[in-house]
Amino acid sequence: MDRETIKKQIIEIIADILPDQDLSSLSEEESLREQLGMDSMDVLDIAMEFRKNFKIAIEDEDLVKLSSLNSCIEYLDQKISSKSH
Amino acid sequence: MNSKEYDYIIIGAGFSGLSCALRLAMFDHKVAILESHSIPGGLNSYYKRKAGKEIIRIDTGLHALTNYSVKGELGTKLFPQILKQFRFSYDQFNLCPQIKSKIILQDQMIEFSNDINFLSQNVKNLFPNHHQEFLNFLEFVKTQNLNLYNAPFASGLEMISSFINNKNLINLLSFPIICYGSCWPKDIDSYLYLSLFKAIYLEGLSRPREGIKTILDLFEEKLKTYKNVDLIYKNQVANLEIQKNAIRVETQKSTFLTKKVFSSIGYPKMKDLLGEKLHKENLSQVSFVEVVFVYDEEKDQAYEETIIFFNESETNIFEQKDVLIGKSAGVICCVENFKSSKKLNKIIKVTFYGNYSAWSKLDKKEYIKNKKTIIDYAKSKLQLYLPKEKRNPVYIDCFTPKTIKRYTSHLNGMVYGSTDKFKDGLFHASKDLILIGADQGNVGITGCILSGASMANKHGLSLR
Repeated sequence: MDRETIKKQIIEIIADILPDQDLSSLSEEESLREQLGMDSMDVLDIAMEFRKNFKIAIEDEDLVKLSSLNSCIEYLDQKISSKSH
Repeated sequence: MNSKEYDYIIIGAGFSGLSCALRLAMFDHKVAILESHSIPGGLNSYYKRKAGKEIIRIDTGLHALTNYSVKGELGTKLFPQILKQFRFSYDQFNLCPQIKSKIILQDQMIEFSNDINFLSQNVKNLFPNHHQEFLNFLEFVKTQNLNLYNAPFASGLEMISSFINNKNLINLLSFPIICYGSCWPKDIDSYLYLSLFKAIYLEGLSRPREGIKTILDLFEEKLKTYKNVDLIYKNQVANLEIQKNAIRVETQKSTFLTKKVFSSIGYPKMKDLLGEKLHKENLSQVSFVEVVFVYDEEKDQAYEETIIFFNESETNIFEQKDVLIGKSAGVICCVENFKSSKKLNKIIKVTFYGNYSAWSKLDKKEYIKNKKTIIDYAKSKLQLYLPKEKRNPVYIDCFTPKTIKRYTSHLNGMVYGSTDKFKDGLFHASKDLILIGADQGNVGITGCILSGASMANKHGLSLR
C-alpha cells in the first residue's frame, strides 16, 4: 500500500469521526490535537479504526506516535510493511 | 433449549445500553441488547396520547438535554465527544437551545442562559461581594478532569462552600444540580456536582426539536445497520448465572451465553438477579411526580422562560421522608419554549419530588384522588410562577413513582440510580459483569450516553 493510499484512508477515518469539520486544508505536520481539538479519547478511536481497517494490532504505548497526519502515515506504513514480510 | 451466543450482552435499551451496544458493534463485536419493553429509552422514552383533536407524543423524562454546544465546536465539551464517538453529525440532533431559565428560592431569584456571562453578571448584581468567589469556582470547575475522577463519595455542597462564602448563592446554584441528578437525600457527590455544573451552566440546555425520539431513532437506526447486533425487545432478564467459561443470561423466552454483561439495571437489581443479598440502604428514595399539561396548538402564549426551579422552604426538597410530593419545591418546564422550536409552546410539565413508599401504600381510589389533588396543586404553582400562561389545557396527565416503577422496573421508582456508584463499572468479584448508566455514576441523557461509551471502550474494546 503506497503512502497516498494510506493518507487517503486516514483522512476518510477522520472524516467519519468528524463529519462537521472541513479537512481539506489539514496540515500533515501539525498535530491533530491542535488542528481538530482531538483528545486522547479520539486518538484511541483513530487507533481502533486503524486496527479494524488495516488489520493490525496496536500497542498502547504506540498511541503517542499518532499525533499528526504525517506520524500516522509513517506508523501505518511501517506496520503494514512489517506485516507483509 | 438452545442458547444463543454473543460476545457481549447489554441489559436495558436506555441511553447507556444503546450507546454501549453501538460502540461495541462498531468494532465488530457480536452483541445483543435485552430490553423488557417494546420501545427503547428506559426512563427517557415517550408515549402517545389523544389531546384535543390530535395525537401527541409526550416525552417521559426529558426536560432538557444538558451539555449544549454549537455546531463545529471543538475542545472538551461533552456533546462534541458524543458526536465523535458515534460518528453522528450535529444537524441530525436538531437541537434548539433554551431561551432562559430561572431559579427561585424563597424571595431570591437568579436567571441563567446558555451564556455563562449572563449568569456571572446576575451573580455580580445580586451578590457583589461574592462575585469573585463565584469566578474562582468557575475556574476550578473548568480545570477539573472528570475522566480521571474515581474517588469515593465526597460532599458537593462542602466543595462549593470551600469557594463561595454565601449560603443563599450556594443554594441557588446547587438547586438545579440536585434536581437534575442527585440520588442522595441532602447532598450530591462532588463528581456529579462538577459534571452537572459544567453540563447545566457552562455548556447549557437544549432540546431536539421533535423531542427524545430524535435521539432514540438515531441510535436505533444506526444499530440496525450492523448485522452483528440483535436488539431484542420484550425480553426481561429473569436470571443471571456466572458459569466456568461464560455468563448465562435467561429471559422468560430465551437463554443466552456471553463473555461479558454490561448492565444498566443498577446495582441492587444485579445483586437480586445473581441471587445475592441486597442491602436496602443502597436504594435511593429520590423519585418524582410529574404533571403534564397539554395545550391547544393554535393559541400560543409568548414568554421567555424555558425552565423555572422553585423552592419555597429552607429545607432541602429531598429531606422530606414518606411524603406523596415535596410540596414546597418543584420544576416547571415549558417543553417547547426553546429557541427556534418550530412548534408553539404546547406542553408544560410541573415536577415535584415524590416518594415511592408513600404512593405504594395507597389503594386505587386514594391513588386516583391524590393524583387529582396534585394536578390542582400543580395548576396553582403554574399560575404563581408563570402568570402569563392563561390557556386552559386540553389534556392533563400525571405520573408518580409507581408509574416509573411499572414502566422501568426501577426499584422505588428511582430516577438517578442507587446510592452506590461504581465509576470503573466493576461492582462484583467477576470482572465480566459491568455496570453502565446511573449506577456507574453518570446521570442525564448525555451522562448515560457517555457512560455506555466509556464502559464499552474500557471493558469491551481492545487495540490488540
